[in-house]
Amino acid sequence: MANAKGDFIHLSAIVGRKVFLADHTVLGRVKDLAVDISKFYPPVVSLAVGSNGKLLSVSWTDFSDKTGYVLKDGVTRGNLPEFKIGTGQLLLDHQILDKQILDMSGVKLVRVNDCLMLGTDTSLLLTHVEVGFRGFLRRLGFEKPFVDFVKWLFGYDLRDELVPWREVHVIPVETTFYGQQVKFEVMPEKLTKLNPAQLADVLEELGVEEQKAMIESLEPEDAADVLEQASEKVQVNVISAIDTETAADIVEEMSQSEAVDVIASMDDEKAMEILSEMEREDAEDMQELLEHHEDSAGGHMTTAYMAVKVGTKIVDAVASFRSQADELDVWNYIYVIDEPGHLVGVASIRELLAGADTADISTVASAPTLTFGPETPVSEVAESFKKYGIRGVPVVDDSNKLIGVVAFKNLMESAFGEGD
Amino acid sequence: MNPPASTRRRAINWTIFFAVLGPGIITAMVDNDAGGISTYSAAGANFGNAFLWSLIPIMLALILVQEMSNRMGVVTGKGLAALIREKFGVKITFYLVLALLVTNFGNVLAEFAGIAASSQILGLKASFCVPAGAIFVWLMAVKGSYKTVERVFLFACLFYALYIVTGFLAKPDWGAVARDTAIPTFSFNTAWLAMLVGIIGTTIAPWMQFYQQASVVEKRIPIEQYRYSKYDTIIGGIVVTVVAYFIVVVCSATLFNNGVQIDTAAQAAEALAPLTSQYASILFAIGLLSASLFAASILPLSTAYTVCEALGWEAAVDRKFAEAPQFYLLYTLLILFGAGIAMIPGINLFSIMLVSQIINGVLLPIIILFILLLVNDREIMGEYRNGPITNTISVIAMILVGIAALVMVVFTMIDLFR
Repeated sequence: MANAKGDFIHLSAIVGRKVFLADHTVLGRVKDLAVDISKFYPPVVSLAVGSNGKLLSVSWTDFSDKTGYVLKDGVTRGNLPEFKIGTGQLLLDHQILDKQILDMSGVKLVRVNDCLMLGTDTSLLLTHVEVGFRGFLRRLGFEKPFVDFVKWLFGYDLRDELVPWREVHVIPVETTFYGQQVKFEVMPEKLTKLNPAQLADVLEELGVEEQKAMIESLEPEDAADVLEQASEKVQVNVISAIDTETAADIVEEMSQSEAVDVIASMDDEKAMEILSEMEREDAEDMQELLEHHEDSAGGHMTTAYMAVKVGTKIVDAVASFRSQADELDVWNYIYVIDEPGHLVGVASIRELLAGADTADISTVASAPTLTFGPETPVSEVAESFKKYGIRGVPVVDDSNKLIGVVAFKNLMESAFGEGD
Repeated sequence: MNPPASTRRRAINWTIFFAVLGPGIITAMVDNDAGGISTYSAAGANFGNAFLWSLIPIMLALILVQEMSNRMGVVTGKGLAALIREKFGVKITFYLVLALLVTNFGNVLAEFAGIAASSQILGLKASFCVPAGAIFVWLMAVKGSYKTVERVFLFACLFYALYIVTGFLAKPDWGAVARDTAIPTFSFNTAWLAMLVGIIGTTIAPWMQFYQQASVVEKRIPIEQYRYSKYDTIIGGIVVTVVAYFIVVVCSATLFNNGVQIDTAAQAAEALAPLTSQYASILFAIGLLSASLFAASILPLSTAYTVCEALGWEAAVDRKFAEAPQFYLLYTLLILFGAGIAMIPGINLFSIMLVSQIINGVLLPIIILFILLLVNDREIMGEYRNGPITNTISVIAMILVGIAALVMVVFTMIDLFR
């Protein structure tokens, strides 16, 4: 093989073209191309060629040259295997073309108009997807006249808009191809490189199936990060759509206040299913919060706060704060409770850190001046935030037992929305 | 005491209902645009109560087709153009959308012509009202968010109640009206048939499926709340029919009974003044003005949205100009040319309208076919596919609508080449 250099070929030029046997009789038409997406540049594993009502599998090396029209001597209709889609493979025409993909460099959804392939003597590789208008015109068969016209009239070169394959993320939706189930796993590590807020914006734009697929392809904690940034409508839609076990895993990873809002807006039946799949402790906390009315302090409080028992050493309090910091909704204050759980003191984190390591927590904590019952209207709680400039208010029951904390942040979110 | 969670959720059902409400009603309202009002006026003035009965089966067909595309929007979260492209490929989508662009542009022209005609009847200068209207609708989409736009439109829907008021002012013989609604009458002469297919064609139009589906997608209505969305569609269908019904009744009781023949809504409004009261004429004209204005903003919006969706360009009211340049360019051009051409003194829009109607008539059966194929696709719709009964009824209704659309194409062709 003298020519190791390859030529670029458009997918639109291959799909639908006739394939000839060595004696120049027609074998059939190319229906689709299956690529192996585990490689950096996915190679075409097989071309699905429709021939007399059957779907045959032709490999790139079956062709006599890299133009991909005429098959080698000895390749016959009889010795070509039937086309079967394998795992880890992607059908370019069926699953990529005309579908939306995620362009990772710009973090936006784009519709694929064409694909660019590199054909050598030994392989045909997928290198880019084309998302520009030129690819669209090519598919319609107007590329040359239109491009020439624009060049003549405006002196403007209509260029290809290419996204390199390494920047492409395909949203894996299940589908069938000539009766075969096509299921493919994408490389989720691509998505985790993006920040959750950007992914949430993409999520908002996706179709229902695609939203589901994207969230399911992420690890629960990453999925939770993304969902927390999404609008409540999308949160509820996605959590209701995915299977209950995954949904429960994701809800457990979400911040408690977000999770409660989502569960509260869901269908009762589905909400119960998810709660029953969750770890018992989490589910019980959640259920308790769900009981409270939306317009009361109880409806807005969280149990993801930090409380220590009377007599705890400051060094131990700091250590346990450090270990829980990730999961806390309220991180400005540490609450001191007695053995039965009555609220006896509050310390700010600044006071806590300023205290001597070996001293008792009570040396820095002061008696709580402001507490609310769960029935207190939200407006009153909001008023106190404004008046005292504090970040969190403890909620206690009739016997002064600490049952939750309303965090400033959560109250703001429910009052003003999350900017959707 | 805290109310238990279950009662809390039952109590907010009305909240959900009003939150979901919108796409179906707005689509239906835009359906009663300048062209629609003209057709219904002509039906009443030239044929009396003869077509009152037909509005009910047409309403059912309208609800059927809108419900299907509405359901597809909720289930898939994708617009109709995107679904057609993903399923049937780029070529057919392109030509469909191109045809939609042309026929919708014809409609936009008609809306601005409607603004011009109605403002003249109200004693306002058309040369002021048309550009002012164009700027108003343009600003609303460019500066407003989806929520504000929807609110303005829902409010504008109230103007249609004017037709009902006019209906009572015209003092029709309600007994005769009731009888003619309940008992269908057929004539089978060419004029009668042309009028019937005209009513069907103006009531069920291709842009409506694209627009309503896009709106429910934009609203992100969850599938659990689908029944509310269905009510929205049904209410829309009923309201559009009630308005059409009253227009027919008014024109029948006044113009038909006095032997006045008309072709357009503006002629109807003018002819009303000497026959009933000045108020009826003014109310009719205000109704026409608001309907035209309303449709003049929705139609270009819907058209630009659909084209961008099909071609893969960014499109949304919530985007800034720089984020969706093609969308805003297309939207602006549609309004600019629509208003510009309608303002050319002495222009006759008749042949442009006929061409637009022909394309409309050819497009409708194709879109309906695609909708039926998509809504029955297991991969796309899963458990929300049409059931066997719905499917049978839909297919029969859609075949009838398709035939009517094609018959209208033939009549319009004859008109055009005469």
